[in-house]
Amino acid sequence: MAVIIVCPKCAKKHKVNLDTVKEKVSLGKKIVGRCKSCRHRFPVQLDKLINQKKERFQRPKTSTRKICVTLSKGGVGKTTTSVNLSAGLALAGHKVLLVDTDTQGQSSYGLGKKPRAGLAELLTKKLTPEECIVRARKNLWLLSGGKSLTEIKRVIDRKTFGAEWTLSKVLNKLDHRYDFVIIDTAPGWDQLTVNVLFYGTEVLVPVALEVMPLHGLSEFMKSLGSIQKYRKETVLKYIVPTFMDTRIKGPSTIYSQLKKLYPEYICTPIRYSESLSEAPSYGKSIFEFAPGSTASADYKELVRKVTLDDSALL
Amino acid sequence: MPQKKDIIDYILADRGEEFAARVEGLDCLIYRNDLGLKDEIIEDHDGKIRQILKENVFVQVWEGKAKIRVKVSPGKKETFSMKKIADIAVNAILDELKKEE
Ligand SMILES: Nc1ncnc2c1ncn2[C@@H]1O[C@H](COP(=O)(O)OP(=O)(O)OP(=O)(O)O)[C@@H](O)[C@H]1O
Ligand SMILES: [Mg+2]
Repeated sequence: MAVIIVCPKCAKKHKVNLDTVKEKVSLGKKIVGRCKSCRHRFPVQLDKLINQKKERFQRPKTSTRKICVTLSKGGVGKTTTSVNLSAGLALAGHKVLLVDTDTQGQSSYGLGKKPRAGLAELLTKKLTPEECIVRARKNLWLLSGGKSLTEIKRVIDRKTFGAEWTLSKVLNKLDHRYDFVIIDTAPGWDQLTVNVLFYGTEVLVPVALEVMPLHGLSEFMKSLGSIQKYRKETVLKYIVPTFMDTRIKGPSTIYSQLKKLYPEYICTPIRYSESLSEAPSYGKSIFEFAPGSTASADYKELVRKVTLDDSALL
Repeated sequence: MPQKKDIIDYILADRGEEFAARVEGLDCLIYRNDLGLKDEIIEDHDGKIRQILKENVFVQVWEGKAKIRVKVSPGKKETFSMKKIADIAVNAILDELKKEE
């Protein structure tokens, strides 16, 4: 068991393997540590450190839910859904991390943030999680995407072993801080999307009720099969119809057919709403921008579906 | 099954055809004629996948992988001859190649 001891003078962190220390000192005895960096000597309360560590291990942990929002088809409402689902879950009191894996960086924009660093800097270990994750709202944190993610694709390509776990390796270390991790993906089907699906376990597919998005859904469901050969934990959980226009017949027919085909996945549709296209340019979620809108009601309904909490946000 | 290091490449190249049964119903829905769907749509995802829907023939061309998928639906009354399917697919591919020139 290893603990981190921080020098009270220079704040340098030292990793100490307790098993080797325990051989030398009996517990309960006062020991003095010396900082390898500034040479400062200070008392170390070994018992306290051990107990803290044990507590952390023993605390019952309800596991973090990791939801990938994805479909290779562009413009179906992935980012809109990621942002508003995250914001809604945060409003309902859950701790949420929104991860943007798109080079366009639209998720941050939608929440009115322009972080200087994000996922790329975290994956390349240029910066620490604290420097990359920004707090966007109460209960809501953001790990932004952006152009620098193209570099990540190169990092993934260069790996000769376990490249599909690149994202997991980094995010698994910090996701226990959150109740939900929501991952927004870019359109297309590439090495980063595969990484997202090896990290997350629940898949949410927004699908506009038109022929091309439906083709996209059909292709995606097969591709997910290829993923599942190696990663059984990743499962389709939600199909969210978007841009639902109730005035024309086509979308309603498609929706009722989808409900018959996939009753276990299909969610209440998100209706077409101008407010949803306006809100991002104000840097606001739908709950902030148009709390009384149909879109706000629809995304609240999605929050209830995802949390299995019928009274959430009522 | 591929070696570990090829998992991503394998997944990206796989068509997942063995899971086609999952989407049979969905594919039927896509090709229904009473949905008022537009007949011809051309899509482009970052230039990586090109999808063309023309007269109930759906063509997908993937960049880099040299993959082509053609789906045909006898949605309208007439049935498609092999020649017609090949023509549409070839035209789609030629269009694609022209763009790269
Ligand atoms: N239900 C809706 N009603 C009206 N407009 C919407 C709705 N959902 C999303 N939009 C708007 O449609 C556009 C595309 O949505 P969004 O950016 O969420 O799609 P996307 O799937 O993330 O796109 P991309 O694949 O490019 O990342 C945006 O301008 C968004 O504001
Ligand atoms: Mg997007």
